[in-house]
Amino acid sequence: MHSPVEQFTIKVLFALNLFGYDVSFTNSSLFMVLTVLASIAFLALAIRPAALIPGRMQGLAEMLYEFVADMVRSNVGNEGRPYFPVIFTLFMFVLFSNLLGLIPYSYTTTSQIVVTFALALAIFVGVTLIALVKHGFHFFSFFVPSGAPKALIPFLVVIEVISYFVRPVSLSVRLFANMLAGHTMLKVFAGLAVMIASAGGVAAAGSVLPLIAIIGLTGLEVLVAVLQAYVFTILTCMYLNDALHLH
Amino acid sequence: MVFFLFSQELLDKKDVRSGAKVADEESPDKNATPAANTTVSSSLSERISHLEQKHRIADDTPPQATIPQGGMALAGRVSSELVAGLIVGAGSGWVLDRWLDTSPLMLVVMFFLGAVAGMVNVWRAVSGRGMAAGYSDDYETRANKDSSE
Repeated sequence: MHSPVEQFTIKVLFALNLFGYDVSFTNSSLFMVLTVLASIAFLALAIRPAALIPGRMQGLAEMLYEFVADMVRSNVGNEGRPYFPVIFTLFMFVLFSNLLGLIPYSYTTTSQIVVTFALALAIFVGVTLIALVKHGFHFFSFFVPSGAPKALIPFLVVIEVISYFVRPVSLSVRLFANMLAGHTMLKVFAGLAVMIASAGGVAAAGSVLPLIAIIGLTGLEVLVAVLQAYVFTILTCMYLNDALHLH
Repeated sequence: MVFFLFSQELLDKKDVRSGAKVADEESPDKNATPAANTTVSSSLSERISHLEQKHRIADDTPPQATIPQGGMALAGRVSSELVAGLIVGAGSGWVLDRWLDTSPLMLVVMFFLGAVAGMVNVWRAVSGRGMAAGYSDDYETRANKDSSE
């Protein structure tokens, strides 16, 4: 019987060593490459007709575009426009790696904390740099709550600084935990079906129940995949909004 | 379909702010129906100015960032904020201990501060006041308004 977490093992496809660092090409890297290729191929093919009245695929691509554009517009405002390409790319990457992971025998790159944390850290560092460049030292007033009693300020500043550094962690943990939990749950139910079926006789008919559950769970996982891509992106927008409009 | 739901949610929010939802729903229909094509040229400038009006966002008022209050997104956020607060607090405490050789003082202190920071973030998430650290000026006025309602 396979362990439900076996699906997350990293397998080295071909070993590579660069300046003493292990940069082997793994199944995770392969699916990251596939994610990028799939999202580029999808968008390129979908907008190819460039019709005034979009067909289904073009409509879908335009919907994704407008969805993210709307999100940036309503959460960051006009100053957010230059950052739209980054945010859209981020959304497409997370969305496609979540959805590709749902295909049987594929691998979910976003179920690795290393991948999500790298994304979140890049956002965190980028957003902090934007704020520093835009506001200079005024940025640090971000951590000083206005209107608080003087005696409490040192304490509050420490809490504000910690809660600022919590951002990349919560952003990455949320995505990673959701993907990890969902895929583990699917495997647990699948394993249950196999176990019941191997009991033999009349009892084997009971394996239909976990199979039905898997159908429902797969639907739920599609929802979670899209929802988490959405949450990841909208939080990026919020952090960007904070960086651009300091209080 | 899920996208539709979410975008609808965003539209609904916009509706509250600017009352633009009706226009949003109508304009694609006009594009799609061939009968409306005859009126396109005559009212094109009108519609362009209408669209520009709709998409203009006043630069001087930064938009209020809020997370959709819809269940699953919020539930996921709350739990991860709590966990992340503890991770960052305890982790930084542990690192400080190793660095300053004060084990276990900083670990204990930072653990609790991290828990507090996590709580603060949860409160920010559920109160829909955006992610801003620190307290904006309209913070208290809005809080008062909420409690009076």
